[in-house]
Order: sequence, then structure tokens, then C-alpha cells
Amino acid sequence: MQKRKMMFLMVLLLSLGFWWFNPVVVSAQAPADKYAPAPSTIKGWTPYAEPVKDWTAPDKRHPQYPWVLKDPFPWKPSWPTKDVPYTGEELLWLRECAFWGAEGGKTADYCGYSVMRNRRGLVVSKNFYIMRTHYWEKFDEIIHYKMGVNGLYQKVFTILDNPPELRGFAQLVVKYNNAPGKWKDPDRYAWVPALRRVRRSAGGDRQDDSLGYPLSNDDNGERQYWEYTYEIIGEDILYEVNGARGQAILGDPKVIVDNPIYPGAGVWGDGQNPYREDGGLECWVVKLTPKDPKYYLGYILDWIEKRTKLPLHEEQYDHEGNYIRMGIGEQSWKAYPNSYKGRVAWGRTTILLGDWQRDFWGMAWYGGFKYGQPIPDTKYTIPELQKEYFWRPVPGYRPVTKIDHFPPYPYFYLEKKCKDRVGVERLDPELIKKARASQDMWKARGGYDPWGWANGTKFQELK
Amino acid sequence: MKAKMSVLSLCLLLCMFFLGTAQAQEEGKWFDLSNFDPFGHALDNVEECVPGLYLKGIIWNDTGLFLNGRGREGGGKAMRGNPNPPAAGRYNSNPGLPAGALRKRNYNLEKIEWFTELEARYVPPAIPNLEFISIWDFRYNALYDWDHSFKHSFGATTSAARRNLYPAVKEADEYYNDTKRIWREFYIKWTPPGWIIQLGKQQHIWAKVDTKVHDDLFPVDLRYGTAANPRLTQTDYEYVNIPTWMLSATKQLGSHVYFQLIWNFDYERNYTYPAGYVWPSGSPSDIGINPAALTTRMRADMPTWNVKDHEWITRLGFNVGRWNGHLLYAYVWDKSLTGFRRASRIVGGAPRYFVEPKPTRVHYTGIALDTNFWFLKRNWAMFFENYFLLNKYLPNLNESVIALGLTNPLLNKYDGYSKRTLYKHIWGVESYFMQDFSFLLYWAFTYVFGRDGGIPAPQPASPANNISAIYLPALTWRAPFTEDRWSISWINMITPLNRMTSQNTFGTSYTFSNYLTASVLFHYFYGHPNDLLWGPLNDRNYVEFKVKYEF
Repeated sequence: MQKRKMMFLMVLLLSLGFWWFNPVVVSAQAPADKYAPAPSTIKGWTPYAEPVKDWTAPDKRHPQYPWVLKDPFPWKPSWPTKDVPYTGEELLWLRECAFWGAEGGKTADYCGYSVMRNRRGLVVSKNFYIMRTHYWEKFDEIIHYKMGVNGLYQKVFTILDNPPELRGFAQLVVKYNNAPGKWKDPDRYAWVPALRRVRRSAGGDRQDDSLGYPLSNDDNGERQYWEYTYEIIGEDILYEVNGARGQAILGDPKVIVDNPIYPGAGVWGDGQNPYREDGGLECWVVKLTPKDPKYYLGYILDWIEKRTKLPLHEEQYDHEGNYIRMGIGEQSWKAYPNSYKGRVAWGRTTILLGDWQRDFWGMAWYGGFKYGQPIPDTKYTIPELQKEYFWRPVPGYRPVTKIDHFPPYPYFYLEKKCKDRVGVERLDPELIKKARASQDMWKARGGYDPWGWANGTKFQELK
Repeated sequence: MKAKMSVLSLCLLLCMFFLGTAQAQEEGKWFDLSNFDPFGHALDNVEECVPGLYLKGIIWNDTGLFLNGRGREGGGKAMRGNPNPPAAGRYNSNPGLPAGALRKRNYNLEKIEWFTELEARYVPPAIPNLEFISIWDFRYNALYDWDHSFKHSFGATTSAARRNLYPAVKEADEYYNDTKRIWREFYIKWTPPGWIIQLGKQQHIWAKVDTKVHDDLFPVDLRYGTAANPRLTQTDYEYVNIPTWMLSATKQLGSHVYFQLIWNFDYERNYTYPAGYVWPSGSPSDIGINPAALTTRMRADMPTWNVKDHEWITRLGFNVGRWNGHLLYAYVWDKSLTGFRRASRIVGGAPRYFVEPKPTRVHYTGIALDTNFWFLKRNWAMFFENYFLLNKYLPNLNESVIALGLTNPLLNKYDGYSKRTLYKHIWGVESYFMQDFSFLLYWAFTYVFGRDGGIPAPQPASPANNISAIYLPALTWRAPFTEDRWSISWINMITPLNRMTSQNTFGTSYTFSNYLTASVLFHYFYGHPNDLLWGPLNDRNYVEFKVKYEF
């Protein structure tokens, strides 16, 4: 009897032990912290031995529009390799959706301040106010031309209140959803206070500077992702974007976790904390190669954060592999929940624009985002351009008026070596020296903090 | 004088040199161009004290220097290679001065203009869609103090031209010295949703093309620049237009249509240079109809402030697909006075003609369009503007004193004018190539309905009832290595089909900062002195230096 009791007890204990050590049961018993930091899967810059290629099989391509993927957007992971859930092409389309504020960014009303500096230290700046409306509900309508080829994509109204010669300058841009061989350039109208009239413009070459900033029209939203081929060439960790560190890069992780961008769609990483324990953000590095061999860029490297699919860092190379520009080189973001029909919108907080060849740089701070508020279509009309009406107060960010106050140069990341980044090492040594001096100058001031500068909470001693 | 000019040129060159080097503030140079805005900083303090007040302004110096030397050909002498020279005094003289065998252009400067504009806008903090706008302009042309050769070009101190014409030219050109010119604009703007309502002294520019078509119906002050003077470009219209007291109401009717009504109760005529100025003056339209020496000009019969004399202008704006435009109808007064001959009498044994200058009622109706299209792998913008001008009185040489005879009784019956309909359009395209070049191409066309040989419009002494001009107003290159701040442009206006003449402007400009720009422009006129438009100006090539500070 005693033996039987002992055996029963032993079996019970063994069962308990087995139950205890079974991970599946454990997770069911005590759910993991959903806000837990992202796992650290890499130790740093990790180039792949073999890049991850795009899906090219006909069954993956759309039968009518073969330049895009067949499956409806947003995409579930397609696992091109066992450790990477998406191809470069898929990542770039997810990125493109975020670029325009995501599906919650149906209407946006925001403002900002931008500053530029050139090689010789001239600093010029602008205050801008923007209203934007998308003429689509879900991004799938864009990818799969639900409004038809050349359908209406979005309208954007911009007005400037600084510098003096441009106070009241207003621009209306109507963008269309283009396809290979069927191109409809954006309609552009501008109210030019110096001329006292609205002038329509042919715009400029897509490869030319956009509005005098060190970025091309393609960088500024006219890039067409069907004009490229893609490879994921590796993974990386970023700890700093535009001087912002930690949660200042993508905002509060709790907001990101509680508000997935594509709820229920099965998008890998959506609604997960993107920050690692050490504050770093893991990215896939995607190489975009233009199909047009005459394009002004040879290829682009894009650092896309794994979970949010947001672009954080970009490098642009010429056809010889020289590191020449950055486009919108660095971007920090913030999520705005319940922006439109309960969806989330992404708003930029800062951007850095750069051109290494011309040593020409720009930085912008964004704020005052109001998403989902109805914007009447009459906002995007000629009379509205003429009004010179500022519908909101000035952002009030501290302006940069001296070269010594301009944000530091971006990091070169010379230690992140691979064949596609050899061009970084070929940068002009004088330029590298100049950039390092700028970075050291800000280090000596305690490190650059973009919002400490803009809000005037830091660096008050700099006059 | 030459010493003064040398000093001036040296100053301008030094100014540009220092502005250029001053950018290198990063390298510890003496001057921080980025933040060089002394007036702006001073006004910032005022704006901080008065919430809702916005102040801005412009100061520029614009100096023109003639390049052909003093009286290159000499008045009255035949130009080289010209088998049929114009009469003495027809060229190389100050336009409008009495002809003289030895008269010649013997001055050096076109202008030394100092110009300032101050603009104040006040938005009451509690009513953000209400705005009070006031704009003041001040102008001083130092030509009259610096270049005495211009004065001497009118002749000896005892000459009639020197005593009568020179003071008039100086009066019109040296300063803005009346309230109308100084207090340019003063109006209130209210922009409730769907409306723009403006009341006060204001101006409107609606052009689709970069010149005046529909905007012809508004008055202009051509003392500032004439059609022959390259200053009359779109960037100058703001200063050339004469703002008038009016009520403008624009109602947005949905997202594709809007309607604008202008009730103008303040008639202003076009103003022109007095005779004797550097550039051709505006002539009374009856020149050639009545001999000037035998003509008595009566007091002009001008519109009153009575409602029946007011002007009414309507515009229906629309947007259809990629087409944007407006339909125009305006019932206005002609801004050029028509000099009707009212009577012909024998006074003191000689014929005398009595002319009554007056504006006449005209109707403008037309359409303006623009669109974009993709062609030759690039985007194009296309512009079109036209109008029919109804009831326009044109001088008729068949009713002139010369045609009818000095004492023909019919001179009392015919007033020297015929009422006709004019058609005008300008069509243009704009595009770009090789990334950093942009260009514009315009075709202008004017047609007179019912023209007979007596009507010297659209071109005198020609059987054609139409005239075409092809403008290539702008070919621009922006230097990418200067972040597009340095540009070189070539503007060419040409009448290739009718007595080819042209005006070319080769220019370069540099934007130093948010506040400072400088430009150098070379203006070149091509054509025979007997030709129309720019030919008679072929001895007036000049270079223009301009430095502009906006604060």
C-alpha cells in the first residue's frame, strides 16, 4: 500500500515537473510581456553571404500588372529564406505605405521647420504648413490600381511663412498612381507672392533637386517602386537617428504594441516592440537597383526597421559605387493611434537630407500632426492658394541661423563593411574630417538632441 | 561723370565680391551672411510687441548703364549700310524730343533706382481669417542727381525742351511723390470658408501666361516701364499695375468651380512717360490723325464715381480633369484714352482741331487654360489665354486731317476713329531638359476684325490684319553645384514673321541668402530703326545691375 502511494506520488511529481518544464504549457500559463523588448538576433552589422532575392516566378506576379506582386496588401510573410519573412520588394512597398503616413493617414494636417546649409556655410530656413488627403482607403488600392492606372493618389497643399520673400508662397500638388509606360506627372500649381499670381509648372526632372532641397523629386515621393529590383543584403542595428536615441526614434513602444498598423492582417512584426533591450533597432538593409541604367543613381541602400517597416537610414551610390547622396537620409517617427477609422498613422518627427558631393544638407522638424480630421476638397483649389491663409500658429521651433548650430553630419558607419558600402571609404578625406569635427563639436556640447534644440530646452548657451 | 560711374561700378563689384566671400562664415570669415537681416531683426521686435502683425519689405538698387557710347551714330547721319535712313532725330535721340539734325543720345545711365517697399499685414488674433493689408512704395531715381548729361541731352538751358520737357520727365521719374503711388495698396481681406472677399485699394493678376492678356483690362503705370523696356516682365507687374479701389468677391462653388466678381468704382487710366524720357513715351492715340501743332486738347472726359460709370468684371474658374482655367467677361473702360476729334475750326486764319480725350466702354471676353501632359519622356505645361475686345476704338488714317484735307468739313463729321473688335491670344509651353535646363515657348497673335487700310493696327503700313510674335521668353540653366542658386537665362522676344526685330536679355543671378540676391542683365535690341517694337532701340543696349534685399 505504502509502495503504491509512493509510486503515485512519484508519478504526480514527475507529471508536475514535466508540465512545469514544457514551454508551450508555460507560455499558456503565464503569457510573456507583450511589451517585452525585441529579441537581439544579431550583434551588429551582419551582411548576408547570399542576398535575399525577389519573387520572380510568374505565379507570384499579378496577372494584369506583372510589375507588382499578386497577393493583396498588406502581405503575410512570404519567407524567401527561413530567417527573413519578406523580400526586399515587399519591404519597400510596406515602407512606401508608411512613407505616406500609412493607412491611418487618410488626411493629415501638420507643420514644421526646415533648415539647409551648403558647403560654404550658408544657412537658409523655411517654416511650412501642410494639408494632405489620400484618395484611397487601403494601400492595396494603390498597388493593384483599384482606381485605375493614373488614378488620383493624393493632393497636398503647402504654404510657407518664412523666409520673407516666400511668406504666403503656397503650392498645390496633385499626384497620380502611375504604371510602366503610363505616366502622369503630378499637377503643380503655386501661388507666388512676388508675382501675385498662381502659376502652373511643368515641374522638373525627377532626378533634379526638389524645391531647392538636397534631395531629388524622386526622393521626395515620386520614386516608383516598380522601377527597381531588390536584394536584402544584410541586417544591422541602429542606435541613433538624427541625434535622437532610444524611444525618440520611433516613439513610445507601448503605443506601437497596442496599435498595430495592419491589425489582424498577419504582417510579421506588426504590433511588436521594435526596441531591443539595449535600445537598438534592428533593420534589414535593402539594396534597390534601378532598372534604368541611365538613372542618376547606381543603387540605394535602405535601412528598414524590421517590425514597423519604417525607413530609418538611406545611402545613395552612383554607378561606380561612390557614396554620393542620402536623399531623405535619416528619419525618425511617431505613431498616432485612432487617426482614421481606428487606424494608426505614422508621422515623421525629424528628417535629414544630404548630398555628400555638394556637401549640401538639410534638416526638418515636424509637429502638430492632426490626422483624420476632414479636409474639404475645396482646400485643394486655386482660390485657396491665393488666400495666403495660415490656418494654424507657427510651429515655434528654435531656428538655426548659424553654421555652428546646424545639426551634426550623419555617421559614416565605416565599420559596417561590405562590397556595396565600399564607397563610404572613398569619401573625400577632407569631407570626412569636416564631418568628424562637426560630430565632435556636438559631442563636446553633450551630444546633439534635435528636440532639445527645437524646443529650446537644451543648448540655450549657444547664441 | 565718368569718375562717378567708375565709382559706382566699383562699389557694385565690391559689394558683390564681399557678398560672395561673406558666405564662408564657417571658415571664420568676417561676416555671417546667413543671418544678415538687420531690418528683419528690427521688425521682429515690432511683431513681437503686436501679436498678429507681420511686416516685410524690399530694398533694391537697380542701375542701368548704356553700352553704345554717347551718340554712337550721331543724329541725322545715316546708319552704316542703311540705304533709307530715317529722318533726322528719329533715332539716337531722346524719344519724343523735337527732331534736330544734331540731336543724339548723349547720356550714359538708364537709371540709378533705389526702391523700397514696406508691407504690413495685421491679422486680429481673435479673427484669423480677417486680414488688413497695407503696402507702401518709395522710389528715388538718382539719375537726375548723378548723370547731368541726361539733362543736357534736352538742349541748352534756354531751349524749350529743357525748360518744359525735362522738368516733366524728372517730376514723373525721380521720386514717387504722390500718395497714389506711395500708398500702393490698402485693403481688407476676409476669407470665411468658401469665400475670399477683398475691399479696398488692391490689384489682381490672373495671367496663365507670363505676360498680360486678361490682365490688360487693369490699368498700368508705364512710367515704371514700357513694353519696349525690358523691365515690363512678369516680375515687375506687381509694381507696374495700378491698384484701384474695388470690391472683389470670390465664391468657391464645390471643388471644381469658383466665381469671382469685381466691382471697381475707381477708374484709373494707363500712365506713360512724358516725352523726352530715355524710353519711348506713350503717344496720344490720335497721333497721325490730327497734326499735333494744330491740335487743342480739351479736358479729358473721365468716368465719375457714379454707379453707372463703375466697372464690372466676372470670372468663372473651373477645373476639369487636368485642365484648369477661367472664363472672363468684363465691362470696363478702355485704359487708353481715345482722342476724338470733336470740331475743326479756323482760328486766326489757321485750321484748329479740337480733340477730346476720353476712355470708352469696352467688353472683354475670353478664356484662360492650362494643363500638363507627358510627351517626349518629360512633363510639359501648356498655357493659353485669349480675349475678344469689343468696341475698341482704333485710329483710322482715312479720317485723318491729311487724308481728308486741312479744312474739309467732313473733319467735323468724322472723329478720327473706327470701332472694331480685336482678338488676341497667347499660347505657350514649358518644359525642361538635361535636368537643369528649363524653357518656355510662346506664340502671340493679334487680329483686327473689319480692318481696312486706314487702321494702323495691329501693325501700321502693312496690309495684314494680324501680327504674330514668337517669344522664347526663357531658357534657364540653374547650376546644380550652387544648389540652384546661380542661374543663367536667355530671354528672347522676336517678331520673326513681321519685320523681324527682337529683344534679348542675357542674365545671370545669384541668390546669396534668404534675404539677398544680385543679378546682372545685358539687354540687346535687334532690328532696323524703321522697324516696329525694338528696332528703333538698337542703340540702347544696356547692362543692368541689381542688388535686392528682402526682409
